[in-house]
Amino acid sequence: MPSATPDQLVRQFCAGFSARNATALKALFGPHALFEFPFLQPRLVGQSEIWAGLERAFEIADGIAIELQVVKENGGHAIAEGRMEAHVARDDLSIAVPFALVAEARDGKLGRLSIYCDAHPYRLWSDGPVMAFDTEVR
Amino acid sequence: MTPTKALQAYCDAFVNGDVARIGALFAEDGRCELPLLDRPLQGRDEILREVGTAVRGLRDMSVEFGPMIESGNEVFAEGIFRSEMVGAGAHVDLTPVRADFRFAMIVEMKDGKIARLAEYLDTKRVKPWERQRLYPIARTSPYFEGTVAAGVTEFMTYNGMFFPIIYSRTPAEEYVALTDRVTMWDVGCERQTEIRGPDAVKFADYLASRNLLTMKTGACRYTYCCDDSGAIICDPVVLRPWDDVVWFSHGSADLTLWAQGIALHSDFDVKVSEPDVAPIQIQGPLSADVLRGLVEAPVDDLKFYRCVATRVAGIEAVVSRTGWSGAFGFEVFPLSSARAMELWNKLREAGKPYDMLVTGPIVHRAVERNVTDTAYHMSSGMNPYEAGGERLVDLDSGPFMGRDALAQIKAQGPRRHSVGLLIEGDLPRLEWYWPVADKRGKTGEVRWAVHSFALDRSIGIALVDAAVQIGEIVHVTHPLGIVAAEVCELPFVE
Repeated sequence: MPSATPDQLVRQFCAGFSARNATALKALFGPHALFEFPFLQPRLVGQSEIWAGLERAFEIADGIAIELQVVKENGGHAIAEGRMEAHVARDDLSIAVPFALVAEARDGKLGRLSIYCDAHPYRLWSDGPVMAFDTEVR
Repeated sequence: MTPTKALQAYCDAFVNGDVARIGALFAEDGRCELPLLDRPLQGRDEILREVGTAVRGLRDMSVEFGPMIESGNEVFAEGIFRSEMVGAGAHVDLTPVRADFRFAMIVEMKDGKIARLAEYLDTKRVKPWERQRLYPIARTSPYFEGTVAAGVTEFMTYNGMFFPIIYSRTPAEEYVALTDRVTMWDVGCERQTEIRGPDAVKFADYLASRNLLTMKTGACRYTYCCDDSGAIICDPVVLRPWDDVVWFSHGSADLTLWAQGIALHSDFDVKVSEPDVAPIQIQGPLSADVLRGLVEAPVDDLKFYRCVATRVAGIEAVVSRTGWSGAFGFEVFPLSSARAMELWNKLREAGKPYDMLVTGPIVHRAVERNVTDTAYHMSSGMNPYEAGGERLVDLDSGPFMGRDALAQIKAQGPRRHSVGLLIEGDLPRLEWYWPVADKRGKTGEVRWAVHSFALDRSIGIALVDAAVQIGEIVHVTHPLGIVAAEVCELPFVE
């Protein structure tokens, strides 16, 4: 199977995120990948930690929808612009933020995914146990 | 110009503070989306204004780019911005306050100009996350809810109340809002000592260093209140909104208790109280524009240091042409806090067309104009002559508190005087009075110290020995070290 391009990885990530499928998302990342998302602090490193962070986010958030407006790719990078909406049931908080993301592909997987959006007006989704030892790394 | 070159030119111009160059890059109807601002900027003029303010508040800026992808008339980029904030002082550990963050940026071109520039970042990296915690030992202002919504982060205690002083803005943003537009301050902590009764003016005159007997209804006057040794208790603005009522709108001092104590042991026919009156200041050149549609009385007819009893947004209030900015502005004194938030919201709504900014008192501007505030517990025993307020002492007008002591001080000549200081280098935030020394040893203390945006340098106001002369070089010891300062006249800016 041909390895995915950065553009494809970004689109697959957004689809998996909207579907709240942490396991499918984990498979998109390389074993030592870095995932930066202002609603999940601190930076998440490695598949297990990324999976745990996403699981925690999906536990408390529903109605997640990501609309990708544009994705541009060049070499190993893709940069995209879009809009994300979600509802944090715990706090009955609606989130609607524009974002940009930068994806770096390595060996057909996401080596880094950095999402840029303004999380200042919102409480973190990661209030709670998001950290996990990455057994694959260890 | 290609999108990539336009993006690089924008960043180069930004870090070099070249606002004109930034303007030349944008289309006339260009759009700029910067998360650190409240809303997208539309049109070259607005972009120039806001970006100009932003670069004024930052220095030592740099941008480092990561991946950039150009496609057609667009470019997508990732980068790191680094800068130091001007006028914010230093952190408690004395490291400078920085605005460093990673960002993604998208530039869309049209006809060789930037039609849209969108920056994405998490402003949590730059803005404070939440407000300072409070304690029930002091009162909150009736506008507390409004100040929290406006992004207050720090309070100080003042007259037993929490006084919102710092919001999540750069000092430059607040300074420009005050000098170019309009600002709104919650000064609910500025309490009124109300003197009511047939002898209200006479009693007020007895408390003040200035002759208040000539105050007509609708007049305001700036004065000192001193203790019997001549030391300043506070420097209030006195208002006479009605014939038989005088308000001392005062700083952080127990002036009402002081006045009540004196009244209890005198023959003045007065009642002294602290009414439920929590003022708001509307300061800046556009302040009349904000108030015109809300105040029943014609605000344009209200002269400097005059007041009027009227209605503001249908709420009974006194409005005065006074304030702590040393420039054009008003204070609104609602006669009750019952509808405080209604008043706050109406004022904010009226301020929207003028980009009115909710801020605390803007100390940077006040110090430039030598507008200060003296509180008894921190007055260093300073008397009006030492504070530079000789014109506010009417020794010949009749008896008043502290008069005999002040007459003696005047006859002997004050031991100290207030001077300006042009201080070398950057300043941390003034958390206590910094010692001033010259070749004779310790000669005084710095009571105010800020970055002056008008002079683009550090300035201060010090109380020093009378022997210290204008033009002399002294040394100031502050937490960043010992630095030289040139003694100068006040104010710094007319």
